[in-house]
Amino acid sequence: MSTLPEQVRQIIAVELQIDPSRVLPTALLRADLGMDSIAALNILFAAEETFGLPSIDVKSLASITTVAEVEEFLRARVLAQAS
Amino acid sequence: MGVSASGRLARVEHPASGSGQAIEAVAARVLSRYLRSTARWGVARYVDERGRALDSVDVRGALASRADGRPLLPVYWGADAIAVATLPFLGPPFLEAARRITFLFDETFGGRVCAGLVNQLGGQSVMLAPAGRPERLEHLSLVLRRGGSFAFAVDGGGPYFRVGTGVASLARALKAFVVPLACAATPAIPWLHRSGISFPLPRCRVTAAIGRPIDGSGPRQTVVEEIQAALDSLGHVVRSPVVPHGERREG
Repeated sequence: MSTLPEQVRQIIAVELQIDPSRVLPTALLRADLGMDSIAALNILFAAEETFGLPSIDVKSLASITTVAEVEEFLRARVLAQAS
Repeated sequence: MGVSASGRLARVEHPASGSGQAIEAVAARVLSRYLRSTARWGVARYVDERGRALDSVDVRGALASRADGRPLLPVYWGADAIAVATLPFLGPPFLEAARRITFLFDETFGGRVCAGLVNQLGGQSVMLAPAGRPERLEHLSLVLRRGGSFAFAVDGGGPYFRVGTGVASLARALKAFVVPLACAATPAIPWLHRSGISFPLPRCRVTAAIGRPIDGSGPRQTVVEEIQAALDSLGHVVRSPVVPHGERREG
């Protein structure tokens, strides 16, 4: 079974149509991976679906810049959902 | 603002109705009257990507809802925006499309004026917060959740005459076809702005070129390159001094 970081990286790779090997924790989403606003939303929607999360305030995405931050952002919500 | 308090996209009844937006409301009315009077003695010419004449049936077909239900994203350079805005005043095909397709504008002075113009034509528009603002994500998420066909300047806010990945991501998310449009009016007076926008003058001839629809479900970078190539090519077509076919005024 995939871990959360693996699932997140897979979602990012699929949504940005890039090789998963490029999705490193330190990668900058916009500068390194070419993420735009719509792609960011698609990543969020895919994550909501994958992890069964309730609708997330999309404005909170604005401050996220790296893959690791996405993982941390989603991990916090998954844990909150489970508790 | 195009987003209601309930979080749903709302028709922009009059985007320039706020107390701080009276100037935009006046500007939209002035622009509407100007374009209407300009179009009164103007002519429209519709062509395809190779400069071949299209009739109103062809234009309606290019901008009509698809049989498969997939939405359309008509896109154009910001430089062509005023010429595009003249088209609904020149005949039914673009007026019908303007009333059926929702326009996306940035929450800027020019965007609010354009939204006011669309409103006066009986169309709908959605205002997006400027790039970099967190609210833009919120507005775009509502656009995605709502779905449908949207028209917009693909280089709005710059860099100008360059297609970004956003349009390809939007087309992919909506499973839409992108319809590239270019439009030029002659004579026109250039506006001193780096977007290259110009204003049609009375008795102008407006040429609109409609490219073949681009399937947004393809690879993102390929879609971007196809849109860029199509808009560049259509731009040459509409600015070509040679008139390969007869011109007409639809009406």
